[in-house]
Amino acid sequence: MLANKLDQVDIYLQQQAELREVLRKGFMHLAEAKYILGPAVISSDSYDRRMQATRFWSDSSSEDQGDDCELEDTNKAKAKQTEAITVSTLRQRKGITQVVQRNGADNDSAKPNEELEVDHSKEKDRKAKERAKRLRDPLYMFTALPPKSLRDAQDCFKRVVSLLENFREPLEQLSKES
Amino acid sequence: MSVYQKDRSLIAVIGDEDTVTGLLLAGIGHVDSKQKANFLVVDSKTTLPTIEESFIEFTRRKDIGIILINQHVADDIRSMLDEYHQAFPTVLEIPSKDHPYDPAKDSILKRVQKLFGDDQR
Repeated sequence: MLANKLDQVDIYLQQQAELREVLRKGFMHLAEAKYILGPAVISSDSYDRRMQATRFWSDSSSEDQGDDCELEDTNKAKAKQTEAITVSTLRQRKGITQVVQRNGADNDSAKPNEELEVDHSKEKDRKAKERAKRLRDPLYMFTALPPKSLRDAQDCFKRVVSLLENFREPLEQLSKES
Repeated sequence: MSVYQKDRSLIAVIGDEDTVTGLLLAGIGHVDSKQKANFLVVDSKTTLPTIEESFIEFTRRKDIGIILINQHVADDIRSMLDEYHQAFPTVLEIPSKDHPYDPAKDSILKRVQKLFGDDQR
């Protein structure tokens, strides 16, 4: 039991060291962002009083495992966007080919327009959701055009939140009295 | 009941402006319908009773799973932290920009040290 406690202490201290390193980088990027935008912009006065959490303790390991706080988020988002555009284009093509294969009836001439409209409305919904998601991003709490240093700081602190998951077991074990 | 209460999923933070700003950038910040936030910015003007009240409030909330606190702020309420034995929310001391982490001051490690001390007797 004592050996188990010592192991958990060791894990705890290792995780603290890793957390320290990521925090150091995050603070550095944040200081750079403050220098660019001004300390009045990156301050508690800019906090959105209606903010809602998007990262949680229960799923803090689900995102952003990038090392060295690289901008993997934007690359992933771009890849997803490309995929979404490809898929929606395919859907449109499929709709048109289906219409071309049909023969004769008058009501068929109305159908291509309806199907294209459905695809357009789906595309609009997707774009509206992406816009809403962007507005919820706390990055835009401070400025509409965040500099790279602020994005890097966000990546680092997202990494910090991910690292919290590694503390779960050591904290649980070390908090036990026996 | 709030959806967050079911899972104890929110992350609370008590720290200096840079720490809180950084963690808010990560998306942990939450202000509920009663304008209660899950964070407290501690600066030179923040009084000790304010920090203590915030800590007590966070420990009583059912929707908070973990409280992050800068170690230099934790030192101000050290006696309260040393007496804190609840499993949830968990309390984790983290370094700040200007104050490095000192394992000798960490309440969790001090508790383990005390256990070892009791076992050796």
